[in-house]
Amino acid sequence: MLLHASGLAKTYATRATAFRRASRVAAVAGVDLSLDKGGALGVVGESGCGKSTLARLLLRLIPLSAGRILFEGRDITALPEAALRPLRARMQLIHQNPSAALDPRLSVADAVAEPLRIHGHDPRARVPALLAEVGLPGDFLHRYPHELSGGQKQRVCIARALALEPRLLILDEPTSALDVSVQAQVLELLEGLRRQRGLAYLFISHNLAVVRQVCEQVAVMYLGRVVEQGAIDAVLSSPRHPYTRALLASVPRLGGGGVVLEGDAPNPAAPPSGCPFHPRCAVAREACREGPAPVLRHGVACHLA
Amino acid sequence: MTRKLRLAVWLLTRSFASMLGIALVVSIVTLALIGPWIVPYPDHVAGGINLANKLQPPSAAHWFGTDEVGLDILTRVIIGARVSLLVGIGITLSAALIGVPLGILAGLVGGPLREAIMRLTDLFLSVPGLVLAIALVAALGAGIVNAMIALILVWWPGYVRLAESKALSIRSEPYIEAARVAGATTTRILWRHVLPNSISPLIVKMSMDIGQAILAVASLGFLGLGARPPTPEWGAMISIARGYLPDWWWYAIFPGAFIYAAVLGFNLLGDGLRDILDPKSNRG
Amino acid sequence: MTPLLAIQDYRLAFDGFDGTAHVLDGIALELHAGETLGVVGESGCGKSVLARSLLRLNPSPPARVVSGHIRFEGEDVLAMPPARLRALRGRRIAMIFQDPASYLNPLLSIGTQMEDAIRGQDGATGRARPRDAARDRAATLLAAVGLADAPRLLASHPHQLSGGMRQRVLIAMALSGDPALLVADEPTTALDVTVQAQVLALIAGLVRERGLTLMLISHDLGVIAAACARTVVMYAGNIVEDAPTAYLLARPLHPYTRGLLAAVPELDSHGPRPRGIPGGIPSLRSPPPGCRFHPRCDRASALCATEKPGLRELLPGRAVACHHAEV
Repeated sequence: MLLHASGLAKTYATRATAFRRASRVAAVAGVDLSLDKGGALGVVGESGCGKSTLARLLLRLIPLSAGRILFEGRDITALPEAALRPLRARMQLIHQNPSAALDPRLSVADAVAEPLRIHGHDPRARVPALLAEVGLPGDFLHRYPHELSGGQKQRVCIARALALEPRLLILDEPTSALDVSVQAQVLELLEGLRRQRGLAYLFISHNLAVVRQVCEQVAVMYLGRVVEQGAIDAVLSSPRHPYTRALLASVPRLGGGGVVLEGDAPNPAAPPSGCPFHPRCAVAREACREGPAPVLRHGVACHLA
Repeated sequence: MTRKLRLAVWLLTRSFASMLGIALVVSIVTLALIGPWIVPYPDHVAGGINLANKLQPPSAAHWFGTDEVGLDILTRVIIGARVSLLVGIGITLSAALIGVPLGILAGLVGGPLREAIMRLTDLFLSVPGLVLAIALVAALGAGIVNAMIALILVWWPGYVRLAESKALSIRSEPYIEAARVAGATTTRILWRHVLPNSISPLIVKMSMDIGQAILAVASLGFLGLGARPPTPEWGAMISIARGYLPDWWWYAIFPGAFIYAAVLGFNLLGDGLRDILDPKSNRG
Repeated sequence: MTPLLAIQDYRLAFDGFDGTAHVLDGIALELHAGETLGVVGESGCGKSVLARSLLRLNPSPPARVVSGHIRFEGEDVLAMPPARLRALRGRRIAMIFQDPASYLNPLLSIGTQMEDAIRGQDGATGRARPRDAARDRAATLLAAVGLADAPRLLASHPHQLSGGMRQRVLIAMALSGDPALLVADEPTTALDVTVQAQVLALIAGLVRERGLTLMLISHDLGVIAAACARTVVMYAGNIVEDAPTAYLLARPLHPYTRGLLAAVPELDSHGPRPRGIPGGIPSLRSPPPGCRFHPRCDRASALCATEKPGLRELLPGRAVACHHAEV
């Protein structure tokens, strides 16, 4: 097992101001997940469901409120920052927006060399090889981010993440800022890299179709919780949670059609009682409105499944 | 690099104001550099009295006329550019060297340290700058060096403010998170990412501040708290010339025009630099 | 029958440091009243610039009209005096945009902004109605876009609404002038997929009920398929294919359209894996000669590199700009 997390939670406390009372927002409320070496797990959900917070918790970029993280068998939950730094070489993050993830004042060569320099490697020989691996010719070395297209910038970010030979890539919506034809190229690249390097992916996306292309496993999140988890084909072909069903039906398809889910996702500062999905659920019953939120059991968190 | 240079030239030449700013600044810097070798009456720089020639209107011999002791105003105004420029740049650089590290530290580290730095800054900023400078000079004693010290003490908090807000906004940029993920230490993040990305607004502010500092030194000189005659300083010259207005107008007009040109030049240059230094300003 | 909108040989260039970018390169398009047209293409293809051209919203400089006409209801938009243009904006052609948050003033209540919009529409042609009449009209419009509890909503501020509600408010404001044409530029791109489905259903419903003409700009063929009967595909400043949406999806005629369709990942696990189109979009400052798509095209011939293909009608209602397209 490469990565194992249990009971992960992140609660933000908002301070009281003259206009607002203090409140507690559970961005992530008790998530368990595990990822094998070389595996690929998709995390799917809409904005505000906590998927990006989850990524940052796993990388220990923000402090945990509760839970435990094992990486390569080692408990990293309480490691101090200095002890984390060498470990970070083995778990890397790809951002959603490659334009913001590259320092505008660093050339491509410097951006890719930075992690190598930090960890005391000689970047000269490695940087061109890394760029070649992500499909960028050598004449990109001396360009600056604002001279590159979105897809090229994301390739630079991937090369940078690969520089330290990681075992795990956490990809936070890596293609959502890209055009479809470029998205397909980047997804192809990611699939190839995973095969060649035996990388494990935690792939965060709002797009189930994209996740299907890259991942074998998927976890569907709603309001800080995993509501359904399982093999991607099984979840897509026979979704068991009503939210997963609604999510699948909302995706605009070339064939047209689809069901419209009513309402907006609830405010995490004032979550609904009972099952967090019940106000938008087509099949909710009395039991869903009251009592505790359903827990994930046999891959689905629904009283009625 | 050549493309960057051409882009910079293109951006500047598109704007009349930037071109005017550059022209003014270049002229004043050139005058300051070669002044001692081109002035018509080099012995008038140190002072002296030639009452027979006093308060002559502009003529072929004295383009800007002469002052109340018969010294050539053109000579003294050109040499005055040296004083003003040196003092203006000195004040701005020193203030930035104090303020920028404090501001970036405050923005990046946060916590009680930030509170301490920022409240001290507020304390200085809550008193009008020139009033504080006057009080300081009064305590230290009049003179050009003390005027500089006073103005540096008044000037640095502005840089703390700007550097802090810039560091705060850069701190939340994804590329800072990306650097952390790559294993960068806080020191490295500061030197490699935060500082280079906050430098452009600081350079713009510095360019504009040189003009303001020249004005402030002239003001102190005018009040008799800065350079003392016979040092050829624009503010001090106007201070004396004031007594000879309006009949002997040239005595006040020419130093005044040079102050005006210097301040305007550095301000316009700052605006032009803002366009050049923005890495995204390559429209088209 | 004269079309509602007729664009002829419209060329728009952006002048910049690196030269002139030929952003729109001879656009020809006719749109009849009641049609629902989707404009699809990737970023930089000129679709948003085209949408903004209908209301002359592209800032000039750097934008410069090189040639062509845009006739709306028979009148050339490009030659309109400012007063006529103001009457056109919002009243005859309304527009909604990608990011609803940035088109609402955060300091003013929804009610104030809607009243201002309604009274502004009145003011363009005659006398503005009083505020309370405008408020009644605002409540009616909110109901039309599916927002109940108008009094509370009119008193609230933009930050109190969700992204989907903000977009509904902007759609309501767009309807306030009873426009003939609604131009929607990526109206659902910033929204979550479940909310996107709601807003698309709303737009489709409004178009049906009010007999609006719709021009929907999107990078997402799925979004266009959900709301538009006809689609034009843009590439590097050109319209490369124009067809009924169903036909376009079932049998694309232009190689770029085929590539675009092949790149969309499908949810149903049976289809082929998505494929990217090799290469990237060309520089519009020095576009390739001939067909602008030929460097990325697997069917390109010598002819494609020298001669630019015009949009030709292969079947009634189906036009394509490709030398090698055949039915």
